[in-house]
Amino acid sequence: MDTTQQIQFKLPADPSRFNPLLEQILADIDSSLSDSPHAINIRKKSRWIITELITNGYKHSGEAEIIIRIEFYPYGVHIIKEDTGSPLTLSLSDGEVLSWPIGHEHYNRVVNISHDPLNILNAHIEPDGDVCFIVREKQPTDHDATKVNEHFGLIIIASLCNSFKYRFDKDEGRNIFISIINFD
Amino acid sequence: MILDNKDQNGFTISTITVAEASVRNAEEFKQELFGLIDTGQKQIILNFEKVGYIDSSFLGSMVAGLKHAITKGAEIYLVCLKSDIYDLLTLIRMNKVFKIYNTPEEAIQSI
Repeated sequence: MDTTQQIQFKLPADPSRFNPLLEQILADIDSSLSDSPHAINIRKKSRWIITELITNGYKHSGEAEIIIRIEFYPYGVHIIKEDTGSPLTLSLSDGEVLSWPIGHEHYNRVVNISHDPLNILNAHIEPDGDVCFIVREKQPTDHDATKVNEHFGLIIIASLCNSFKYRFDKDEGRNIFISIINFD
Repeated sequence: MILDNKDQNGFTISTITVAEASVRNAEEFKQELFGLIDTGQKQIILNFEKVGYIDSSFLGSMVAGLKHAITKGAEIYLVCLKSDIYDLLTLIRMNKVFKIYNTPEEAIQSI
């Protein structure tokens, strides 16, 4: 489906200059959704998602340029982060390490990234090599806080989105994270 | 200092003094919280009244602090959370492991 509108931002190399840019991105989202009854909800989720994507970006992208693009569709909003830093590496809970680009033998696998008394974070490697991150509540809940994971970035994004994917563009060496928020 | 600490009826009320609780102050917060626990404070109320935003790094420090508190026999309570932050904690199910109250007084009365 065609976008109805898109806005794009290049991140400053200095992380301390990120906050003013975030406010500008959110203001532009507000402006683009000004007539929408979903504006407040989308803004709230967007702030967390963009912050987590960028925090992760600064940690893992090195000197690579980071682009944030917001695409607006009739059904929702896509928040996309692109960079040319090192491709994704996933350390799985069983000790296996997956690094992109991955071989076809891994396609169609569902792997566990982390699990604790509260949440299970899985990755579904799709038939085209894209990775879809999925959070599930642990049932029944174990209230032992000493076993709770201290890493929440992927869990926050995957919980706030209707879909959260990673794609590696081999031809251009680009990492692409796509989070989709539907107008519910 | 990230935490402004006051003693009240055997509780330490630690007000987080930053509006943005984020990767920029998460490590300092963790060190100060660990310090409180290591000096023997057993009932720590973390007051979020000034905090308008929280990120995953700060949440990680909160959980690290909670784990440390448990090993030392201390309790941590969260109070005065803005609704957005409460909603986030609920979304990622942190409300299952943290004791959350509306006000410091409510936390104190819960004992």
